[in-house]
Amino acid sequence: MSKNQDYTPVDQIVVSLAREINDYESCYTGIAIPSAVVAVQLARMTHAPNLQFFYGGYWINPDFDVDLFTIMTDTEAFIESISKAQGFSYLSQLYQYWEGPKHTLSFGFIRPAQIDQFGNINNSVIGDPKHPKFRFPGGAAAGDIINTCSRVIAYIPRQDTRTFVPNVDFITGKGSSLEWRKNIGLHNYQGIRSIVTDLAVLEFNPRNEKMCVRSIHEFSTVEEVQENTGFDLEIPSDVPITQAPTQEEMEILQTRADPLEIRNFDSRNR
Amino acid sequence: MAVIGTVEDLVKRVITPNKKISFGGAALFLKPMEVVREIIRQGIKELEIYTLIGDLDIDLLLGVNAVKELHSSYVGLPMVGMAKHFRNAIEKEQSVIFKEWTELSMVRAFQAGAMGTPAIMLRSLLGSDLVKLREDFEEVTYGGKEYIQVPAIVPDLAIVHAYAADKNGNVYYPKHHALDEFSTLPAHCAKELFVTVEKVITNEEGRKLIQQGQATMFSSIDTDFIAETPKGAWPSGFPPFYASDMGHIMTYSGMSQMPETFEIYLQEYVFGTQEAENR
Repeated sequence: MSKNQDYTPVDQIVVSLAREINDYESCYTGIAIPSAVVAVQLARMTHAPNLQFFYGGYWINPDFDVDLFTIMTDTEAFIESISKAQGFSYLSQLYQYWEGPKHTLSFGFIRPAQIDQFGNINNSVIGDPKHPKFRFPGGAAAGDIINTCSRVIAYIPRQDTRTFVPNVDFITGKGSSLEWRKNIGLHNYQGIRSIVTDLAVLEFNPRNEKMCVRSIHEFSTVEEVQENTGFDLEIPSDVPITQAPTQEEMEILQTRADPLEIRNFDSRNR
Repeated sequence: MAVIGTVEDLVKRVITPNKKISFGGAALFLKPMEVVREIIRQGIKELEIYTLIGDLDIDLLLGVNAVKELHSSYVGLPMVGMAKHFRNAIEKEQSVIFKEWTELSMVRAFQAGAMGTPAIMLRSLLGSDLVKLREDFEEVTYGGKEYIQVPAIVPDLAIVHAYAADKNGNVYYPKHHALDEFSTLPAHCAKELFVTVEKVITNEEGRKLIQQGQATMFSSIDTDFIAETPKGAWPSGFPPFYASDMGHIMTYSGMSQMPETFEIYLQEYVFGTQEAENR
């Protein structure tokens, strides 16, 4: 698949996620989505130094370059992580940011197990919910984030027909229909606005609210993207190529944003 | 006044079949693991368990078929993999009723329980099929806006692990820890509270901890039962005192795949522990 390039698909995912972030925004990421965490750190070190970042419900603007695994297995690292953050929030503080009167966070990240053409996500079950064929661990906060952050950025480490389905068996979190959101009074919460995969960057066509391609990574092809999607994907004839990671981005990624390469937890063989 | 006893005696006394129990901790941190092991040693079954994020605690109990109904927003072994018995119990054996919540809705239901209000409204569940599966979740309109109303969670008993307890039952906790709310939320809504601690201390030592900057996590009014269980959260972690034992979690993950190896795990790490203590 890949040409002779000096970056991996995961590097492209991280860089593309980082580019979804604007300076002076506020955001939340959970603890178990490594590429999103690294993307936020990269954005803070490049174009978004004034981002307010809430990590895992505790750390505010963390400046540690250790991954959660290290924090969990090393109590020294845990303590150090506290001193290397601008603040430390309580769990209920975070929940207040989600639904309290201070309105909302600019965006949140999720990694759905399954997504459909309307942006509905499934982190619950495949098959009959009462007697499922496959039981996922559960959505944790994914279903909450989708309705409580102004917009949601999703990523899926491996795009294929099992993860991109016409209609999900079960809606853990409601999709991206702006019309539905307006009607139910969630107009301030736009749901998933962009999806980054190992093949492309996807979004939703405002005309029919269906998923479409925004850009295709330089190492993948239109055919490959369509083949790995379980429904007809609108692909513009002059589809743009995703901007590859720059040399500067790669250098910051490797030396400062993610020297421990935790992004590779999201690496999937193809 | 809290009763201070051994885990063995207190589990025998307060944990009975059909009890509705909430667990503190989350994501391989601060799970009341020694109580979980004692429940298995005593063969107590038919439990109804509530926990925000389930991991080894839930998977062990499901492995011995001790849970009849489970409420959580996620059950897995974070950073390691899926929880084998959780999947088995739902996909193959259908031996447990699993009620999935979102993290926020479960937190709000815990808070509602603590406030003494029978239900609470929130918006984050709008549009989710989780609502359709639940007879006790309701779509409501209030002030012209739509909400999902969820029932308060009021467990018979909460079980949490903490740092230290004095003789009066005041429970201490390192300040500014953030993980503590994973334990206070499921505790404050429960009718009774069972706390395992790293150590039982004197009231004077407790006062000294406060002077050193620790916080009173639970007062003697909150706590009903206290047992001293050094490293009682193991293999889940309790920073700054001990880390999550990820090596052990991986061992567990491997041994939980087959009934034969799981049996060996139980003999070694659940029944074996007590043996070691008796020696």
